[in-house]
Amino acid sequence: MKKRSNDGSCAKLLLKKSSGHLKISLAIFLASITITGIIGLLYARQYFQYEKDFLENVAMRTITVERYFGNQSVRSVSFTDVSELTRILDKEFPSTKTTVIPVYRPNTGFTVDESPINLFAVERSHSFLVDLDDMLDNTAYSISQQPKTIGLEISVITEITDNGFVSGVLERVILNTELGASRNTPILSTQNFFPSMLEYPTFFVNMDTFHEIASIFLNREIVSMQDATDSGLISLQGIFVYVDDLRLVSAVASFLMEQDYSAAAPADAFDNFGETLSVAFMVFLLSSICLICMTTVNIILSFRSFYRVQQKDMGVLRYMGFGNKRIYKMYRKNLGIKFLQIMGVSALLIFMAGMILFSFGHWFVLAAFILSLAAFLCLLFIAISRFIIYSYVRQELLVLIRESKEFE
Amino acid sequence: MASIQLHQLTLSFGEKKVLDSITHTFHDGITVLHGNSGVGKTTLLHAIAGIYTDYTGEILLQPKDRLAYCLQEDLFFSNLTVQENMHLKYVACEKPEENETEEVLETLSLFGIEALLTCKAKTLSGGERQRLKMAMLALTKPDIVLLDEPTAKLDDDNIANTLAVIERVWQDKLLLIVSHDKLSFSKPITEICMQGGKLQ
Repeated sequence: MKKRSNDGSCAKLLLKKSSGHLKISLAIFLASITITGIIGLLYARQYFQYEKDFLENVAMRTITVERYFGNQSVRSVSFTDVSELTRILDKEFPSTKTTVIPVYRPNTGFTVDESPINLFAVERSHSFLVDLDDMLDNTAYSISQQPKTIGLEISVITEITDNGFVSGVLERVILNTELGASRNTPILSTQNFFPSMLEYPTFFVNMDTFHEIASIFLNREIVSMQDATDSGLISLQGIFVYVDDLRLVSAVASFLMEQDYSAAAPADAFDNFGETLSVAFMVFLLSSICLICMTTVNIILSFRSFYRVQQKDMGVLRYMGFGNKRIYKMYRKNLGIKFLQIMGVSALLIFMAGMILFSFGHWFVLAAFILSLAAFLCLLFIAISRFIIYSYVRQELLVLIRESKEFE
Repeated sequence: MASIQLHQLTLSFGEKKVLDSITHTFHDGITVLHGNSGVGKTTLLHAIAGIYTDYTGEILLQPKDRLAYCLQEDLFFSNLTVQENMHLKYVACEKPEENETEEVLETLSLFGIEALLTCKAKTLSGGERQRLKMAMLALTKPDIVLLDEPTAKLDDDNIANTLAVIERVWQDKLLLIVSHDKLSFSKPITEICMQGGKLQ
């Protein structure tokens, strides 16, 4: 143990014999791996953004169906189209999960505090269409900040005439509100929903809640949504076909158009985006590999020249009486210290960059980058110590002391 | 009593025989090897010190005898202090840590350079450097000392001082010195001329 600690003090003395040249190389190496790491994080961030905006975006997998062009006429989709679309899609795409989602709305304005609002009904199981995990009963999900509860004012229909309807009393239904429905839901992108309508508060409720509201509105018990739509006072906002496999969205949309349905698929507009991102990712991957290779070669050559000029020092140590193994261990220890310093600084910088780029999210990416850095430096450490230091240390004394001058 | 026995010692570099069947025994006391450049003086020291091993014949030393070899080159770290260089040598010899300070100071004072303890080696004069090299050797308490050109590049005063120190410290040891210069010691010494790879 004593000998070991003494050798450690000798290694420290050798470390004191610092080299400006090597310090510059180490600084360049540190900068290179840090920059590569940060560029990698930037690409990772871009990928996550792409994933969020496109791959995980429900709207990208959703086809909006609003019209039927068959039989030489045009009509809005109706309740019966829901089952028809389900039937033909199941038949045409049996191995792909497609979900036909009807979304309803009242045809007449409901108000809150006498101001108009937009109200839509979505099946609870299809909450994902508005970017929600679930939709509770008696709760209105809004896209903007609202009071904790709202009093939904419903004009109760007392009579339906040829010219319209007659309403009597105004009934108030108290609903809890929750913020969180997505403004980007395809429901708000249909042709019969104009952007100007977003000026009014917009709410989504589940179908059970809507049943109750519709029953009050129609002033009778409604049996089904077909029953409600048959009244003409409740209508389909649209039918939304959710396609589980993003790659098949266009094919499903084409098929629907062949079947005389209007089919708007936002994914069509971004056909080349994924390709562009793939190319960008490939460019990053190749440029990173090149950068890392160049940096690695540079640092290996720097260490090679550093240890080449240190041959005299190794020779002096051998002449003093240190054996090959002890000299190798001293130089390896000093190299380890340098690599630990590089890893510490680089990991800290990458961590800080990651904190800024990911805002405390995607910890695993940050951890993966730092672990990769550690693994890379470990490999480099082993390569340099085993193939460079050892190859110099084991040379003959006279070769060591005469091949180079003492390193200062 | 230390001794170095050479028996039919032959060493060649390619076709050239540098040491040619040398048979000789060196005993305690000072022996100076003279000779022109390239006659094999340093090669002989290298072979005795074990740096060259691809010779034929025999080199016999007593197993108990410690050998120290001072090469012509300055084999210490110039930008470390005298103390740090001595520390490295001390650790290399695996001596007990607790005696280090005392032993290092004692050895340096033997060579008259104890005041230079904190000076960087590169600031030392030629004579002081030579003393530092020898002080580092003396730490090992050698029985046999090989010195290669200890007075090279020194002025007359420094040569005299260096030889006086060598004689004082190692007078009772086997001291084999290779030198171009005529060396003056106060006590009688053995002088051998080397020529054509042979001892004359």
